[in-house]
Amino acid sequence: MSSDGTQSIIQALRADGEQLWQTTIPTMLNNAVPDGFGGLIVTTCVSGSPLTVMDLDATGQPVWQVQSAQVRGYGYICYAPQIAVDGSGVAYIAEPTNAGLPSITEAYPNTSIQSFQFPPSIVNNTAIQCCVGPPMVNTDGTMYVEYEVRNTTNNVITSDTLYFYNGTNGQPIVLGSTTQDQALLAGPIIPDGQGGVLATWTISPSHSVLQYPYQAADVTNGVVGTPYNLPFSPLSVAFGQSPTLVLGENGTAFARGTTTTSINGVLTPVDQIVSFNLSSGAPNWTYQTGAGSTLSIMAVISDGSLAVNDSQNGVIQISTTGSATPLTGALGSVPALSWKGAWYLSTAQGISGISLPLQVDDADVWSTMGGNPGQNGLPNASCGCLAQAVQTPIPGGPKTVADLRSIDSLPEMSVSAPVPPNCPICALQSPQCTTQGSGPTYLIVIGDEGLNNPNGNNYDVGYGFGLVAQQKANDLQAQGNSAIACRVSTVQQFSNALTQNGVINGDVIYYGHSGLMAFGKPPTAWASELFVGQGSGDNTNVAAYNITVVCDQTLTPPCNINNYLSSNTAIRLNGCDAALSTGQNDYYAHTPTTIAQILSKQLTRKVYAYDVGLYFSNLDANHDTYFNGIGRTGPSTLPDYLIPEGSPRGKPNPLVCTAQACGKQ
Amino acid sequence: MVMKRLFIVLVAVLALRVSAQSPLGSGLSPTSLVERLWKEATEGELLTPDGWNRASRFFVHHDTFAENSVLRVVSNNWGIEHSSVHNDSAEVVLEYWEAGTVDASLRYTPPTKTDFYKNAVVYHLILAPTHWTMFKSDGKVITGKEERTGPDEWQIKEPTGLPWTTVNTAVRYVLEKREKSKDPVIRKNADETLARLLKLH
Repeated sequence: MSSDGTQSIIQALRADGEQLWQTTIPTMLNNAVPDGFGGLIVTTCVSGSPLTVMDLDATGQPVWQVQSAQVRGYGYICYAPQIAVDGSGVAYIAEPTNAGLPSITEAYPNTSIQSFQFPPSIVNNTAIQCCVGPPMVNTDGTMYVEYEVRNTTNNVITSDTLYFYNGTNGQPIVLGSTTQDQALLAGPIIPDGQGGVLATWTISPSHSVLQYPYQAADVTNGVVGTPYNLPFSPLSVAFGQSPTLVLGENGTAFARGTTTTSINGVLTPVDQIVSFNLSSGAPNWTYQTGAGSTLSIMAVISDGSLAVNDSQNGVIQISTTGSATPLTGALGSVPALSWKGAWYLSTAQGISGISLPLQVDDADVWSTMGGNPGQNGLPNASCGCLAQAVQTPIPGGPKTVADLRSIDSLPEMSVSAPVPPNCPICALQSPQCTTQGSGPTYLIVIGDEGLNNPNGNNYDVGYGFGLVAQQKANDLQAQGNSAIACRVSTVQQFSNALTQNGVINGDVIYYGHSGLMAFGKPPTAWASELFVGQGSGDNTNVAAYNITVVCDQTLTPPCNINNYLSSNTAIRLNGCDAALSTGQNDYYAHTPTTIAQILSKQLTRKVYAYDVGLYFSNLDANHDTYFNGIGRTGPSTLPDYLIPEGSPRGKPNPLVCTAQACGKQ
Repeated sequence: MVMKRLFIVLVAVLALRVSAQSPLGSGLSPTSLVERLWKEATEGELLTPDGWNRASRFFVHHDTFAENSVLRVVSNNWGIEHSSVHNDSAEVVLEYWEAGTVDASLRYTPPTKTDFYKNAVVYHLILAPTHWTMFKSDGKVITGKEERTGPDEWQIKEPTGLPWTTVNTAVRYVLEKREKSKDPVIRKNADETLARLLKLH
């Protein structure tokens, strides 16, 4: 915020603090969320001007914007809409009340906008739009939102119905209805972890407060389960104020809200957190703080416990049985989670990292407020770096609903699946090679597909590397080149591919896994490596400890790389993070370096590699419309490209690496 | 008199051998020793007091087997990545993947998710005198360690840590524990744990 309070400044920073861009916009409201493509969706509002929601892309340029209309008799109203973003970057903007936006606006990354209105309420014979709850996107990509339709005569609510809207089928179902003089206020929705959702709302009589005004029900396959009370007894309820929710494990959810307790005989509002059964609402435990203290849910932890911040007492970990363990003293603000899983603290002095013994439950799809560290209403997504599933096509295509469902349940395309059509490279077994085309010779080296690791990342890309290698070979052949493609699983095979295929006068192109090997638990050291083999053992990797095996100069006669690679040949590593520096010594090299630099030193050639993750797409890096591969499966047939994570309009180029350093081209 | 002294010495030696177990060092290279340890872990040796105590020969310091402790589960797939020896110290790097833990109620907790493609544990070994591990009469509880002059053996400096095994052996462990339990909560936990372990490798 500028010093005169009239402008907001947005800065985009890399994780290492380097500023990417900065822009100045009118005063922002406090509802900004990531757009899922490296950009930011912000809302600005200036008195006398339309409220504007806009998407700034990863370079700070506007992608789309939505503006509110004037409200008759009130002009432009500043009332922050609530926003959720799905995995493909579609933003769902919900109008909470009658403040000038349509009920729901859908803004697409390709800049198209569409919107629609829910049926209006009739208030004293006047049709007005009211009211819509916060949208969310479930694990299946469906957007859900609640909306209220009420009829009021002489300021008395004569009927009120609360609907639950499914953005995929467009069909609303009734969550609750009443003919009493009471409002049914839309509340937040979270996944139930079983494919359904937990919907919440508030019953608000016009002239009183219920003992338990907050309601919840599990909604599965369009059927609303039996509603139950959430055990909070506030002194009052208000529009837009509902308990905040996160999802636990084994059918458990957590809610945080205000309730009332007797302190020295005086009914006093206090903050409370409840663990409850999703289906029945039965509480597992409750935790209350003292008067004047504010509780904030931080996250569900991997052991099923809950991390909570108490404004007066600091961070507390509450076990699955409800016992609380203090971890810190009062911190002055609530620790927040970064996308990398680290905790940070934002105070008046700035933002700083904070070390907490709290590992967030990554298996939980809604372990933090708003579903993920960006709180944009999308279930938590893990690292997408070459962890995409590649689907096995069902012969003849899916025929039944069960077929369609089974597609989602298939973990990956195993290499035992049929070889994709028109992909002879996909059929290679280590250390086989194949050649196509004629002309200047390029060498394509393809590593193992990877495994579905027990540590939560499925790195089995099936035929993914074979497909992108075939794509490259076809493209090279079409350009008048010869492409030799070799499958490798060991460092020796990697070396043989370089030295047993005649003179390579084009480039050497690697498709396979790469990145960091972590040492220790938690990691205290790292090594940059090519993971050519999916197994474990000294020869399954290429790293500083065995780099001398690559064109071994200790043999008799010594290997001379100049006999195999032309002086202009470059090595192009198409794997994750092969040029990513940790800033610390490589475990084996004993100096800060990367596998790209290590290879450059050994082969005395320039090496081009990325310091970001890669993902599969049927479009090349210039045409792909996504930021990364999270939530999407890779192609199972040609065309197939391995492209870097980054803005659709600004994918990073590989860094060029020598033995000394990697830098931008 | 000479015969009497010899008899006393023989009785003392026999008594010592009766009360001591695992009297010999491993005689293995650093790499072979770590591989042997992990093979024993794979076979479930570290899940029983006897197996746990037998593994004591690999470690400089050995912890008493903790009944009902958390079981650490690692990937079926593991292997030595690198090793180096400098005089009487050595370092062995072993690749593996964490696969979670199973507690005494057979409840499974997944591992910390990481962005790293592979994980490794580094063992630091020293060439140290073999030791005799002394047990109480039940053959389970360690009473202490007695060092004897003899050929030096490679031993791991790191603590033994939690009992651990690989995914496949953990499945069998949970199955057997479930069959022995009549507690419906434990049996339910076991069913859920098995369902999750069977998805791992």
